[in-house]
Amino acid sequence: MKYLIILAILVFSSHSFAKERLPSNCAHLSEVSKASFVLFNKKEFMQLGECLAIAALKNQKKLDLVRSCNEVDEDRRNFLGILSLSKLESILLGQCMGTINYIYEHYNKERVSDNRYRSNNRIVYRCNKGVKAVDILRNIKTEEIGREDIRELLCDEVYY
Amino acid sequence: MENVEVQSFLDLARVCLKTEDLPDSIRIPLNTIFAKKSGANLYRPKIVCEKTKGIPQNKHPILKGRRNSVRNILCIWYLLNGDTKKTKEFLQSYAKSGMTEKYEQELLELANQQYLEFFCLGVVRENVYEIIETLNSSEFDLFRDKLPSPFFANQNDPSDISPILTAYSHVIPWEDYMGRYEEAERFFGDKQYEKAKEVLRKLEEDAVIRLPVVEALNKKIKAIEAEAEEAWDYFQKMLN
Repeated sequence: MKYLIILAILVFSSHSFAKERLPSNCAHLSEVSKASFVLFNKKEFMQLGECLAIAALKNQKKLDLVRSCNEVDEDRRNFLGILSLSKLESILLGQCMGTINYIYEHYNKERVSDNRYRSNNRIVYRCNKGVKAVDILRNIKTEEIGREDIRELLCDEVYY
Repeated sequence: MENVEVQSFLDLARVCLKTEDLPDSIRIPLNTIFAKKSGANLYRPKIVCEKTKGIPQNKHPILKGRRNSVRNILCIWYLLNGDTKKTKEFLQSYAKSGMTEKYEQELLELANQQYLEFFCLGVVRENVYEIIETLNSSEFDLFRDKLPSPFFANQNDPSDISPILTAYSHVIPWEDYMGRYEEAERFFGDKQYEKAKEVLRKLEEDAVIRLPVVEALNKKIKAIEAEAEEAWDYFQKMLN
């Protein structure tokens, strides 16, 4: 069982650290049929969740990240880990991870383009990822949250 | 008259099997076990009152307090694969020296051999172990106390043994059922749920008896479909 938990954590962290593992091509999102929902495995549902999150963030749609990231947290604490996830829970979990990865990929080390700092272009974002990011999102007070607010929560503005 | 049960052993068997009509395949073996004196000198006096005469309807009355022996003997006979001779030998041996290693082995071995039928009817291996354990117990008397049921617990009546009647009142193509069930299970394993359901539906339609395993697999498929539905609804909500 120990190994399972370690495995689950590894899967989780590999998603957070490896930028190139982001499902950049979420083409399957528009092709998914209802029939395929009985066939997908947990990993595919998680990827679907990641894609849903990315699509939402791109389209300025709001996400319920408390629910999603609580799922990541529960999964971490659950003895059976990934095995006990339902299909819906896998999607939710993927959404949380997709959001964190998307924000990290887009903003980390990027220069802050804010009028306030026009005179100083040495200010960049430093974004949280992994467990810390999950914990931040779990503790949001509002039910649904948009891209700018998520970035504000996950990323600090620091001198380069 | 006070020392015997009012109901005959056949009446008692009808009650246990919840039927008004015992098929010959069960009635004849019971007659051999309860009424025939040959090869029964050790166990029969513990169950049947031989001294009572003049009751035309009940020539072999059961001793008072020994009515459970009919149910127990039906169970043992069923577990011994309906082998009447073997059942009598077992009863003789039990009456003489209680449960023995030999019959313990025999019961276990037969449980393995009859796996097709046991599997379809929901005879649970644990229950067979429990029966053996009960037979081994010094507290237990096969001719007086009640053996646990070998069948998967029926919620309304945990000691139900009526599936024995099912097994002996029809000619049941166990192998055909098992083959079809296994096909459904393969489809299930390959996530071809529609095909699995179709095989199970036809099997249930054709089966002359209730098949608990089929019901269990159907339930599993329904759970998976409900889970997919829930995820699909959420997915749609997020897309729109």
